[in-house]
Amino acid sequence: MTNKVTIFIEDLPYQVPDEFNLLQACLSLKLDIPYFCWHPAMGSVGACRQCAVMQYQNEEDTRGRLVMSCMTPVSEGMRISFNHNKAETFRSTNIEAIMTNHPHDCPVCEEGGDCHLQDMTLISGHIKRRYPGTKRTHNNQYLGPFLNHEMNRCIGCYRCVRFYRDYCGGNDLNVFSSKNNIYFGRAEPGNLENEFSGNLAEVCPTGVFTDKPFSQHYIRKWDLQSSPSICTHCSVGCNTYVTERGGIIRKINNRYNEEINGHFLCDRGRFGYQHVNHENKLTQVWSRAQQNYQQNKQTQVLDDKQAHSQLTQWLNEPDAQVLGIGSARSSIENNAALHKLVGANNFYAGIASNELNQLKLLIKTYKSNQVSLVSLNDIEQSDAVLLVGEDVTQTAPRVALSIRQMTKNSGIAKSAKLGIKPWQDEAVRNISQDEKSPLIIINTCETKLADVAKHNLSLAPNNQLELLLEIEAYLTNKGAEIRCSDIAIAIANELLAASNPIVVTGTHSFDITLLSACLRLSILLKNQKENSGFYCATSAINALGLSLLAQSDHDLDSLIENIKSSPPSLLIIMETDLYRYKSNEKLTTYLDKIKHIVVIDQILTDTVKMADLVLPAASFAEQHGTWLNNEARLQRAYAVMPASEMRQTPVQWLAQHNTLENNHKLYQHIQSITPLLQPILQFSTGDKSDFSVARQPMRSSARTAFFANIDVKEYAPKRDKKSNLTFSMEGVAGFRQQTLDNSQHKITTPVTGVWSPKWNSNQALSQTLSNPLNESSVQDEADLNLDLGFKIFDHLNTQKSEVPTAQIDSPRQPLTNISVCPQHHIYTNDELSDYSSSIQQLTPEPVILLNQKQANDLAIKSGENITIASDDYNISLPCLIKNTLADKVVLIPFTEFMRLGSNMQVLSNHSDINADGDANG
Amino acid sequence: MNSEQSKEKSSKQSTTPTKPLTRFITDDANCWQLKTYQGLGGYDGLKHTLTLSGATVLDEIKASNLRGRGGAGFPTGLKWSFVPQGDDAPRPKYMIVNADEMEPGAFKDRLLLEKTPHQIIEGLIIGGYTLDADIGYIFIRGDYYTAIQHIEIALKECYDNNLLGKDILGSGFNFEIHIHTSAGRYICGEETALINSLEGKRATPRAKPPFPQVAGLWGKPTIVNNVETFCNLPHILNFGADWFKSLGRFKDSGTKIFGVSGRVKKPGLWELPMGTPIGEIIENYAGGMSEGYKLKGYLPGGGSTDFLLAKHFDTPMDYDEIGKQRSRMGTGTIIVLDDKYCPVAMVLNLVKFFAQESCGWCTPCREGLPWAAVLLEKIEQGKGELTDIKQLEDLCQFAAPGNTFCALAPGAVEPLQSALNYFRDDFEQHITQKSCPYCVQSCDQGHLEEKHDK
Repeated sequence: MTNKVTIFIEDLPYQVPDEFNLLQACLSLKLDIPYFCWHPAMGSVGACRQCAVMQYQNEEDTRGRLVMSCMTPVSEGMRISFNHNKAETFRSTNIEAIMTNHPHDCPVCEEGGDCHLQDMTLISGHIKRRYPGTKRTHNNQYLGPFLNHEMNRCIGCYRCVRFYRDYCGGNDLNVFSSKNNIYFGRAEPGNLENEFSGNLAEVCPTGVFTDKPFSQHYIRKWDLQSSPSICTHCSVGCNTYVTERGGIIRKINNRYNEEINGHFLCDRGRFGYQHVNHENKLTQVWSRAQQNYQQNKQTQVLDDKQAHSQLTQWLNEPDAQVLGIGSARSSIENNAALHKLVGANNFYAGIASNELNQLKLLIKTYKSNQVSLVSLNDIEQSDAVLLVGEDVTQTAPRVALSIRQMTKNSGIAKSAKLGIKPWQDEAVRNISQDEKSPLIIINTCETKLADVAKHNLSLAPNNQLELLLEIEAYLTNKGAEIRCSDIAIAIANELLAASNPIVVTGTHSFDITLLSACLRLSILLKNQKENSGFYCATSAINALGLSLLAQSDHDLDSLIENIKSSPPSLLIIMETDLYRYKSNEKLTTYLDKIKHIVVIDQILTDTVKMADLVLPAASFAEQHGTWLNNEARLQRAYAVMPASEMRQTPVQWLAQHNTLENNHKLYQHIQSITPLLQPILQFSTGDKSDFSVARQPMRSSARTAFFANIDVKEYAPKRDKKSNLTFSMEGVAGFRQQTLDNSQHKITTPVTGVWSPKWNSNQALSQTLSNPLNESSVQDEADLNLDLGFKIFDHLNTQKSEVPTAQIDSPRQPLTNISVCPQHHIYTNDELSDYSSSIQQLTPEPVILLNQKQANDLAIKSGENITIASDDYNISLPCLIKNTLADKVVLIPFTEFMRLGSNMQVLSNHSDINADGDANG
Repeated sequence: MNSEQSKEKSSKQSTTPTKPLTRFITDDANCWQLKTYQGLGGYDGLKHTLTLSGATVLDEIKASNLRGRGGAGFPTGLKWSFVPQGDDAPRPKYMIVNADEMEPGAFKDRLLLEKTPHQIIEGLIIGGYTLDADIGYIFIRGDYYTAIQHIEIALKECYDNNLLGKDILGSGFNFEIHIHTSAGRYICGEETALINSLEGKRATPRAKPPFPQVAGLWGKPTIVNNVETFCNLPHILNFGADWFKSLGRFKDSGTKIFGVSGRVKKPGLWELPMGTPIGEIIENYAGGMSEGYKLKGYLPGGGSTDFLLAKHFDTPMDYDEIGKQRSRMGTGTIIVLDDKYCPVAMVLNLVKFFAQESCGWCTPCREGLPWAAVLLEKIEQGKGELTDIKQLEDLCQFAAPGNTFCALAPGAVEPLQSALNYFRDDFEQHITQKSCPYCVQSCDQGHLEEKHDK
């Protein structure tokens, strides 16, 4: 796959991939070469000078010269020395110089024990301080709810600004001043604006930027339990390490997955975990049921047994009619358990009809293999992206970061012509200048990717559709006589010029015609270019998985209709807050018609308040679960801690009632619903190993003292019967698994942390990434790579099925009406992350957005209220004028959009101009 | 050949000058204006150039052995030959005059900038024509007010007289020149930092490759050369490469503006042939040391070159010859250290300057130079220890060429490392007697500056 070259280190030959720089090559050979400014995702700039080695011209050359390994490409026959006295002296003086201004505050620094600077200082041999001067000091800044700032610790590696500005496109963090007084911060204290700022805590090699919520319940790294998990806060399915101690989630770290998140998470994913620690989390069984229906409801706490007998009683009532609502934020297993209990006909997806229809259309198309589902990595490698109708920065943030990287490819290609490698970051940027691979954005409003987009089109939904149809027509009949707008032709030509163009869209416009148009365009492109791809963000981590289980039209809207006409005797609502989707008053009257309502959920929602029986559900951090992300990739997440108090997974709650007593039966049931989910079996059996794996990083001293405030007795750690991981330090330390790779006792359980001898921080990853020794072993098991997940449609033997019969209305005449569209925000879109106090601090006030022209038409001024009404609900919110909005569009907060449903009307507050809205629904 | 014969021989071109760079400088205060400049034969070089092909001009420059006058002495013709030529070469191409003269002790460019702006512009246009460039920039130190005014007027004169703009002198060649006044950082003299600065970015040097000749300003082919380098071009084109080579007294060709500062009788600037021995410059032109002072040493090429001693007086001011004495020609402006000024204080002053001017990008410069300054200060104040000298030596090694991102730090430690070599007794005496052995005068000045700084 990659070409190898032979390099000689201390006169011994090694094979390394030729696209590597020397530093990367040496790290992959597990040589302890210290570095600071290099980053595997951000490349080399040669600033810190820490990675110096001696390079020799040839075998005869004895003098050699010092080179920075990060800035040196590997080449065949290259000879270097790492141990040469001159190189060692240089590296030790360099770290000594770096440390001249670094405070000796490791004992009170949160980075301590997880600090790249500590590791590198020891590796480079700096033990004794000679510098006699004083240290420079700085003032720190308030940077918002996510990050602490402690500039005195800064060693000037420039990684923070390179990440924030060059990688993420942020512009409110910068480097100021010069010489040894350089300052990394904002022009003024304030919230960091970029959606990926939290990564700075991992990018910074020392404790300048640290995780602020983590400091509120700080624990040293060696006292944390950690397990491989999946982020559940959007549909992307980024890989994470969840860390825990004492039943409290402490922080989320990135878990490298080359296909999805790579090295970086978004801030919603990193800081959205606080619902697990929330004071309103459900931990007990509550019952308000009385024998006499609807009389004297009083909450009482039941025990396990009572709960089950209550449920049994209700399930077995004569003429019992049981309906279940599955959840897009719950695992496939949980949904399948409920599905089994209530039966396919009575299983409803906890999502609105306009979304389920889109998901069904997606699955139908994916099955036919007419589009290639691409990963984020594929997007980053592609050379053109058409982004339609989805503000990914707000709905699936990590996708936006990948698209941003995609725009750099043209400059990388330009640099390659001058012999510059992609990792020569600064050179590539200087050569690229404004050169960008084409990104075309079609949306109702300008998005945060606008700065890298070639075409930014703000259009009302019907105009978006018209444009897509024009592009489609142009691509179908090139050269034929078609009347296309110039912009349609320009976009079509950009897509044709690219070798692997990708169409990125999402379900958040709730406009199935737009989605069909995107799919058709993608199919058309794939017919012309084999390497073209398609990516569709969905609403929640398991939305696609849920739609595989639920039947068509078994959505919330049809459920409500059902309840209206014939209320069931028992409604089991699993991890769905119906009040997010439906307006209060009406919903309450419908729910009141139902005899028994059982809610299985993690946190006290409005829906929970309506329940007769509340069963506390385990959070993502307390259960092993399998999730299907928006690219149909099955991924397994492991519990980091036992479920607290009376919490259980829905699978466990329902096991007594649905005859799925064991996992095997559960997985059989899943397969019986859809064979597409058959690979899920491999996940349940895939992590069998001879050794169990510890969630704790190494033998620590504090274990026996942990309950000392309660009892001197040493309690046995809880046992995890369903995975190969232990809730203790017993077993192979998670990160040491790889050292056993070559032994016969191969451990296939995903690693529970990153570590390498002498490398205690997350940078240890650099030593395990792309290790040429590891590569071959991974290839053997291409079918099941637990680390990367499993894309269920990729391995499908498809019979060429019919083209999805997406009915596209003939292009509508430009509406004189106003389209009411949903407005998305990274910190309000996801239900559970809204419970995080740090995220709440950044939640915007709800407003209705429209442009000046629209405001004039409605005779409304900025700040005045606009009322939007539908059949059974209306909202009145202040308006905000934003001129990057399309004409004939108003954007209303996403949840309000859901509650309003169809037939929306815009009523301005002081005039009776009525505009019939197009609700896309 | 006597003077009459030579006049006869070059009747058309008047006499071949021996001091081409300053030949337009007269006692007239307005000699910098276009009228005077053209009257004395200015723009003849350009006119001749426009009759030749770019390749021919480049060959002539190569043949002249002109070396960059900014300090590094890289052969100009060779540097220029890396710029892509032909129809498919990237466009626009840029030519930049580096007039950001900030080297301690250097003031040669200022003379040329103030007195002969047209000579620079002519050189720049010739350069532009040679490489088929489109836009020229004069990147000038912001403190050079007079020079900036003169250049601005000179540019206007050129545009008014079809010496700039479209179809220059009917040749079909188009060229624009902009002046950019620098905000005042020493690092902007580094060509890639200068380019970053012009782009509006932080003035940090760039990684090479790619070299600016291939991808420089705005990612396009770019040449950056010193003021004095450009000033030589009109004359090389006017009088030929052979004439230019004949000017030098040793190996290097042409003349150079040399200067001397310090306690000499007549500090100043002189245009002299390359290869003029150092002793001759200090003794003859600068008139030797002032009364009561003896020469202790000197920095031959400005603040970032190694000390040399009286014993090196016979060394010709030629790039390679000075190199053989383990110093550098640099800017050719000599700073003389006398026997009554403390060498530790002088080195401290220089190291502080360079530490202050570090861009903050790479560790040896950003952290190493302030560290050296702390040690030197300690020694100068009589608080030093003998191990400090070893530390200083380590730091000189630390910031050696190749170890740093650009040449600033290696240059910064050159006076220090050579002072440790030649004046080691002074350092040790500071330490053993726990005070500065030199007169109160020099130390006090150092301390005053220190207070002023804070």
